[in-house]
Amino acid sequence: MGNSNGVMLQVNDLAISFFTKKDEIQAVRGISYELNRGEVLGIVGESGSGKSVSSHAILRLTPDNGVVKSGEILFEGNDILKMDKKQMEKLRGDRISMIFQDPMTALDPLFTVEYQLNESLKKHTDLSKEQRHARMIELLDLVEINQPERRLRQYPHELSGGMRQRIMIAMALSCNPDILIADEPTTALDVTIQAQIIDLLKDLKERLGMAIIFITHDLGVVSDICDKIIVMYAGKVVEEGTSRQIFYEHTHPYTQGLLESVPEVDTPVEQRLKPIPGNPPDMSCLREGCAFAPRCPYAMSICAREDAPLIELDETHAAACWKLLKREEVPAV
Amino acid sequence: MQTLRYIIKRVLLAAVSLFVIVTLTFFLMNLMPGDPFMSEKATEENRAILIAKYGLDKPVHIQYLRYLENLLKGDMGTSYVLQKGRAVSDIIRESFSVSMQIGLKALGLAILVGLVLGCIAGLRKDKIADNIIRVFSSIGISMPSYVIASILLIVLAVNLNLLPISYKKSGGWVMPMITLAMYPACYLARLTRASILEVMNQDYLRTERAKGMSEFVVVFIHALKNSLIPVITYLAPLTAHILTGGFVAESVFNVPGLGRYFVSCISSRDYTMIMGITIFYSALIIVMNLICDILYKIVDPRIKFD
Repeated sequence: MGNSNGVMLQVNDLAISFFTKKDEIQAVRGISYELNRGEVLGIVGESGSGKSVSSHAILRLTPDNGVVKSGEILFEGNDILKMDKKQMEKLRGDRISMIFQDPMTALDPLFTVEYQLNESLKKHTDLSKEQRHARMIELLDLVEINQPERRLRQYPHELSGGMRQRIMIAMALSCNPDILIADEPTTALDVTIQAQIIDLLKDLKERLGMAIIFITHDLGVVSDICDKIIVMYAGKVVEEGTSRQIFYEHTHPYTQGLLESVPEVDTPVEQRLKPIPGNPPDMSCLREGCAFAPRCPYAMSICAREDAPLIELDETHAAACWKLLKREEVPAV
Repeated sequence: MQTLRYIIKRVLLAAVSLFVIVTLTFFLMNLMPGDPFMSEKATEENRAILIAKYGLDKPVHIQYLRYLENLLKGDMGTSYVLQKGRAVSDIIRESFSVSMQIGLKALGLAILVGLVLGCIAGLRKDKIADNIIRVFSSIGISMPSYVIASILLIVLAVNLNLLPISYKKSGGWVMPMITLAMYPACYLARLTRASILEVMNQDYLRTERAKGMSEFVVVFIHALKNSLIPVITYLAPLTAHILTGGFVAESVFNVPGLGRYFVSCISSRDYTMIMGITIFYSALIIVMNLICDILYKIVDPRIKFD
């Protein structure tokens, strides 16, 4: 680990489909992004936007019926998608680790916390039994769990949801990963616990300096933890930029809709939330053109026919929308 | 401590259950027409003497109280018909030891084959191995044991001449064991398969993979242990059933075990044998259930005793 800002993870044109008996569901349709050392990347989108699927693919945890159709995922220059079993086992939990949405089901109910923490340490480190025990205590301290000795002997069902998620985080951090993928880590938790977990992740990031990919459907959650944010819709990146650019200088109508639908503390009680009209598209039969066009208040005729490419607005900011181009730049139909 | 209290509670409950079973069986048995001596080639007078000798001429409730009294002293009486004059407890002890010897082997075979086939089928869902195992286990479940026993006899003993027909010759236990193990092995295979399929989709297995655990650890430590929970529940009645020996398996292969007495004691109205075997079988099931519940607790820490 260091402060050098080199690219650590590079996703290029990743496309993933799920195959059912009759349909092909195009969950991810060619996304690209880069993650630098120590950087926090937020991936935002609603259910079915492909945000989880694309990030599970980094650890090759795509379910069996999911197929990576194209693209590469380069970790320090090596394509993860081409690694063999042994290489994957070394990568998972050691260099790149992951925490999941529902801490209630993410831990094996039949094994103690100690057993499950010890598994990773045993696999990835050369520590002795005593050293591993000391490390486990240290980890539980790190994620602010009290009475660590007692917690180690407990089973998951004896712990609260927030505590289980802290255990998950401790497990993920046990081998000092370079990248932590957090897949909606707070969605299944109470609001107060949510804030605690976000604070904890923020604090850990400062102290340990790992890069984080933070996946969420809630823009409010990522606002102050992320350096940059990717907004996904229907398996594609519709806008990317720094946290500031996404919140204050967003240009894509979907990003705008997403931000407007977040309630704020000073919103008057009688004012209703502003939802995005319509539903997300059916990913098994996508129409031509921009997937957001049917719900977009600014849709033009071209939007229904052709998908907009990502248009670079400046070095860090890009969005996929025709309205960013001047009239004469839009291809004639 | 908690476990001990639980066990004591369960034992007391078991005593109540046994009492109910004894009472019900005793009165139901007496409702059946006929008596133990109806097939005796004896005159009416001699039969009356026999009936009076065993106290069967007294009112049923008196007989019941006397039976209970003797039972509490540990005396289950003597057989009236099947092995006239021998103590029921002796007959059960002797024949159960024969049934148990075959039963334990059959139980081991059933668990081994059932779990292994179930795992293979579950892990290779919809592949050739899975399809073969599913067809095989469906057949095994639906085939009555006398058919299985007959096929074994014809193929292994008569045609191939591999095994002796008689139980008393060496290797005679093999065919009764297979006959006994067939149904539970197939049932276990299906149960294990379903259980594994359910467990394989659980989030915690994804966590294990994300931690870098090998597929071997994921499947054989985490998935298997979790999928054994429903299997354990089935083991209690299965064990009691197998240990007491199948009626068919013991009759076909002429095994001097407990199983063949199940039916013959009823048809011959051997009252004390009916009572003795019922009590023994019930107690065995109750004990097996208790053992399974404790096993359950050992495997699944979420189970609480109270």
